[in-house]
Amino acid sequence: MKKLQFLNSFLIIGILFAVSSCETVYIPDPIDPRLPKYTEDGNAVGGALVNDSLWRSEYFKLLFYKRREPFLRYKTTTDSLSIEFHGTIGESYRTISFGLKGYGIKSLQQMTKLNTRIINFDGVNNVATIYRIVVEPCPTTAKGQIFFRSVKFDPENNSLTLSGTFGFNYDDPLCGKIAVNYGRFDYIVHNFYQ
Amino acid sequence: MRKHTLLFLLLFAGISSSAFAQLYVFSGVHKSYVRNEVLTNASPIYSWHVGVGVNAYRNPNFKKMAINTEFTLIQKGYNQHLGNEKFEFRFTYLTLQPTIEYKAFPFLCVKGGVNLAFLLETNKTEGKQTYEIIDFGLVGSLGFFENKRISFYTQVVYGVSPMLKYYNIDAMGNFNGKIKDLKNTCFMVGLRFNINEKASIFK
Repeated sequence: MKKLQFLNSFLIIGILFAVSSCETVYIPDPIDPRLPKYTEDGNAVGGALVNDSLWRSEYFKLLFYKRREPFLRYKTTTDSLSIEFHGTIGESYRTISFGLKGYGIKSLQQMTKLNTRIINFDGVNNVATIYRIVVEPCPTTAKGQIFFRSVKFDPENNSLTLSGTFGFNYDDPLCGKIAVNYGRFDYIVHNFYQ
Repeated sequence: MRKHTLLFLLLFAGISSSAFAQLYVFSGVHKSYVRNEVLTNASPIYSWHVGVGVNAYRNPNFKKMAINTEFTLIQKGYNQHLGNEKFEFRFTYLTLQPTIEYKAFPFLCVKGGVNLAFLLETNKTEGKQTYEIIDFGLVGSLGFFENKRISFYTQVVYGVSPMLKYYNIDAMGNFNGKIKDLKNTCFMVGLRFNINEKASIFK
C-alpha cells in the first residue's frame, strides 16, 4: 500500500513537472497588447485579430493534461501537411487551419524545410481557413499567406520550435467576410501525426 | 561595485558639505506620455517621482552659474485603449541628470542638460527584453525661489532615443524592417527641499 502511495506521489510530481515545464509565456505585443509579441522562443502562444476581435490560442485542458502545441499531420492520401491552431474568440472555440500540399514533409524533423518560407494561399494546393468545429464549414479559398520565419529542430529533445506569422481573408455567403490579420505563433512541438 | 558606490557617496557628501554646494531632495508629480507613430489610442499617465540632487558653484568669475546633478526615481508610461480594454504600460527608471544652472533673476533659475535613464522594471512580462534599458533625453527646467529652504520647480524631459526596437509586421505577416519608436516625454512639477542650513549657492 505504501509502495503504491509512493508511486502515486511520484507520478503526480512527474505530471506536474511535465505540465509546468511547458507553460505559456504570454508577452504582450508592444504595438497591440491584445496580441502576443512575436517571438522565436517556443513560448506556446498564438494570436490574431479576426475581424478586429482577438483570437488567442487556447488548448484543451483535462485535469493535469494540457495540450499546448498545434496539431501537425501528414495525410498520405493527399500528400498534404495539415497545421491546426486551436483557440478562442471570447468564449467561442475557433480553429485556424492550414493545408499545404506537395512539400513532402512527413516528420517533425522535415518541418525544417519550411524554415524562412512564405507560402501564399491559392485555394487549391495551399489553403487556410478558420472554423468552429462541426458548426461552420467555411471555405478554404482564402487569400493570404503563412510565413514560417523560424523553424528549428532539436534532435536531443526530438522537438521543433515553430515560429511565424500569417494573415488571410475571404468573403463567403455562409461564413461572411472574414479577415484574419496580424497572426503569429511560437510553439515547441513534440508530436507529428500521420 | 561597492568601491564605486562608496567613492560616489564620499564625493557626493564632500561636494554637498562644501561651502560651494547645496544638497537637496525633491519630489513631485508629472504627466508622462510617449511620442510615437505606431500606437493606436495611447494616452498620457500621471505619476510620481522622487530624487536627490546637488548643485555646485564652480567658478568665482561666473557667480550666476552652477553645475547641477540629480538622481531621480521616476515612473513613466502610457495607457492604451483598444476595443473595450485598457492597457497600462509602466516603466520605472533611475535617472542621472547633469545640468547647467543659470540664475536668470533673483527668484528664478534656469537649467538645461541631459537626462540618462536606466530602466529598472516594467509591469509587462519580460519588459526589459522588449524595451530599451537606457533612455536618453534632453531636459529643461525652471526653479523658483531656490534660495529659500523650500522651493518649487517645473521641468520638461524630452526623450530623444527610442524606447522600443521591434519588428514592423504588417497585417498579412510580412516583416518590413524594424520599428524604432516610442520616445518618452515628461512634464514635471514638484517641491525641492534644501538640506543645508545655508540657503542657495546663489544667495
